[in-house]
Amino acid sequence: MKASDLIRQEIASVFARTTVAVDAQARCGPFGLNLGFASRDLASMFLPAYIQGTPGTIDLDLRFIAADHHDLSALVPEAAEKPRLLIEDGIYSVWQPAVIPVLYAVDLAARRGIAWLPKGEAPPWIRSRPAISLIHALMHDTPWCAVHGAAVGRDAGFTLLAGEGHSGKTTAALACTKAGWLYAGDDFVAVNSATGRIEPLFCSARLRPALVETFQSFIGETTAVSDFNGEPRHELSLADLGDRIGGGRLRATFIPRRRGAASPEFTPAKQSDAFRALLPTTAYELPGWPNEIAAKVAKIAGLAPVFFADTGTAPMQIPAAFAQKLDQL
Amino acid sequence: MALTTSVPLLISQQFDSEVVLANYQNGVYYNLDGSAAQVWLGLKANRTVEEIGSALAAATGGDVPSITQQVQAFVDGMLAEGLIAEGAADARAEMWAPMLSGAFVAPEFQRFDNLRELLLMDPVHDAGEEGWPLRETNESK
Repeated sequence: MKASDLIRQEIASVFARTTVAVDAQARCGPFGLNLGFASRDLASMFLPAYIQGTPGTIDLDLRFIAADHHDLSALVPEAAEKPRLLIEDGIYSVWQPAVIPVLYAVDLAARRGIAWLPKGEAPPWIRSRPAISLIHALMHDTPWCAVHGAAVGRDAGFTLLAGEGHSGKTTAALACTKAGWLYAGDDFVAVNSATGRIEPLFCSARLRPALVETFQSFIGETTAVSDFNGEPRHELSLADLGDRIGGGRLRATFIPRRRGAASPEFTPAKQSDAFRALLPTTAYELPGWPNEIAAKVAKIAGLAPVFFADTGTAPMQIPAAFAQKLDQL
Repeated sequence: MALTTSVPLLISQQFDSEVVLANYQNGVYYNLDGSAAQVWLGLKANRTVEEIGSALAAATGGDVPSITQQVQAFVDGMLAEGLIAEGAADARAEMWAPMLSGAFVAPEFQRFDNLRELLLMDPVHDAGEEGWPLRETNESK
């Protein structure tokens, strides 16, 4: 039997046989999702990251299951220590064995997907952006692209914050959100490479301990603290923002960096700088169609003016500086 | 020796007169600007080192032998770095002319390898030739 046929068969089997303990609906970028969790534990693990609501249409029916609920070990490829990707006959499937293994698969014709956790748990960064590779698969053949960046916006439009880890994306995004801006994400957001429309994918944020004092208002009593490889993070759900989780039109791309300025400063940057800031983690996190991803990211990098933004030493000075810059454009 | 700019898992994007190359195998990014970008674009248009050297000399008013020698050295460097490869040449573009003005400056690339730590995540970028090898118990189904 072909691998894609077996995966298709098992996806159908999961939907036919697995009992859903928690059911929810969410929007994720331009898509509406129906989410089914096989246990309350799985729901509490992943649901806080989703923007719950009632979307107009359901583009993907997604089930989260563990080995206790359904044995999908037959799908685990040979040499299970290696990551794998299959794109075949309308099936997109990813095996990610690193650290804590996860299997994602989607039947693109049936619009049904599964996230299978053999050990019943997932690394914190996967909990903060669950099943993003399946959203990436849905975006294939559309102008949409999930890109590694934060995004916040106001009347003058949205800024996409592009940069590698520790560059200050989360700090800038949460500072602007605290100041009343719309929040579209601190890690991955959906961007339409043709129109520049930005939409949030998730309502999660991952906060370093050093920033807890500044953003105490976002930390709830039940906020989990993960500690993976000595990198503790407060795993925030910003669901309480309600309508302030939203999208809009890209107005500028800022590349945060810390170069010692006391107050936020901007320096003009090039389209290629934005491309180089956006592509690496985007490409590494989203398996499949690398050339198409690069082409979409290149377009996005050229949609709006690009600036390096030295975000300074006082996070709450960032919103006013960003607002002034966006208003000038 | 035929040279190609089509290298597996090497992504290229042109931004005006600049070319960014991303090597997905080792996580290294490269920026080619000025004459460096024009040499790479010349190879992509399936021009020989001699043709590129002559065109760059004509555009900048420089010395053909000297510039051709510098182009050859740069091409050798790109080969060693895996930014181009020996193999079936790219399709020959009918029109190609370097977009360069002013005095000729020796080509060189900027290398960004601060992203290599991402490789520790052992990512998968594309469906490989091995596909999704099912274990033996499944093969007989």
